[in-house]
Amino acid sequence: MLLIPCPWCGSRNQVEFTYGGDATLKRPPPDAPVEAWYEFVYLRDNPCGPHDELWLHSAGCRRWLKVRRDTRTHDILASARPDQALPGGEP
Amino acid sequence: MSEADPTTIGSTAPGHYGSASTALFLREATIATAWNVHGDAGSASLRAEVQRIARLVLPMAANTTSKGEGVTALWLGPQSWLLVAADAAALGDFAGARDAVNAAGGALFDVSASRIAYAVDGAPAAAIMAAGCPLDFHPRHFGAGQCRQSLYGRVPALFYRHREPPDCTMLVARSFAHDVWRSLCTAAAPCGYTVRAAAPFG
Repeated sequence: MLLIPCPWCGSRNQVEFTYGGDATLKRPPPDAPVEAWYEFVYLRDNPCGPHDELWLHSAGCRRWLKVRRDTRTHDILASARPDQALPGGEP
Repeated sequence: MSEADPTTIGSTAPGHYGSASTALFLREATIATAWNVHGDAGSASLRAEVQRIARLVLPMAANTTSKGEGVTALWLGPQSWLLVAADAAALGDFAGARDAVNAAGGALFDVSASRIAYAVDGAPAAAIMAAGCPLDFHPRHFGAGQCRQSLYGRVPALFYRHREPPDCTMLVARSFAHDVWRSLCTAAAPCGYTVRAAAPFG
């Protein structure tokens, strides 16, 4: 079980949350080549170690949040609102 | 109070169920009106409009509630609150209130029929809640006047303590009422429980 610190509600059980994918993706500009869009839509890294992710507090305040999770240990290292940067920049 | 058949765990008829006789009480807390307020918490005009309509100050701190005359406001999220009244007269006309909140930049939804509330009271209440919910119901973490949204089993639920623990009220979608009531009764059966007649929310 993971305890995820929601920036609004405080630490809550993982079962209240829904995983929302990679939080480090940058949306390409509308006129970007099709390769850039293909990469944005379909291709994902599989990092070993700290990874920034989006989670939705679906059974709580229904807000999205950023979570930095260590993919090896499942340690939750930090969390932040979607419009705020996680401490220490990108992993 | 009449002695109910202890084998009909899950019945809503008032009476005592289960073989043991612990002081544990379950009942429905009736809701007449429930309005969902959406909007910018930083908007002074929205806060003032809700204060005029519901005669209470919206709770801005997470997981907190506030009370007015017959109305309780529960924090659902940083831009969402639930106004609950046991008496329909406490909140008045919906259409007028919605137009006023809209004019103040917010949104108001009538969700009176969406939720049912169950109140659990008695020393084992926290254990009954914890049987289906991952929240910490210790009074140090969840005191009077606080609310939390979480799950009971797999059902999204809103928990509210309007009095000092162990009392706790749980609001769930009405479509899950039967399922949640059975879950509560099943969790309470080993220590025995008493179903009381429905009483107003708050």
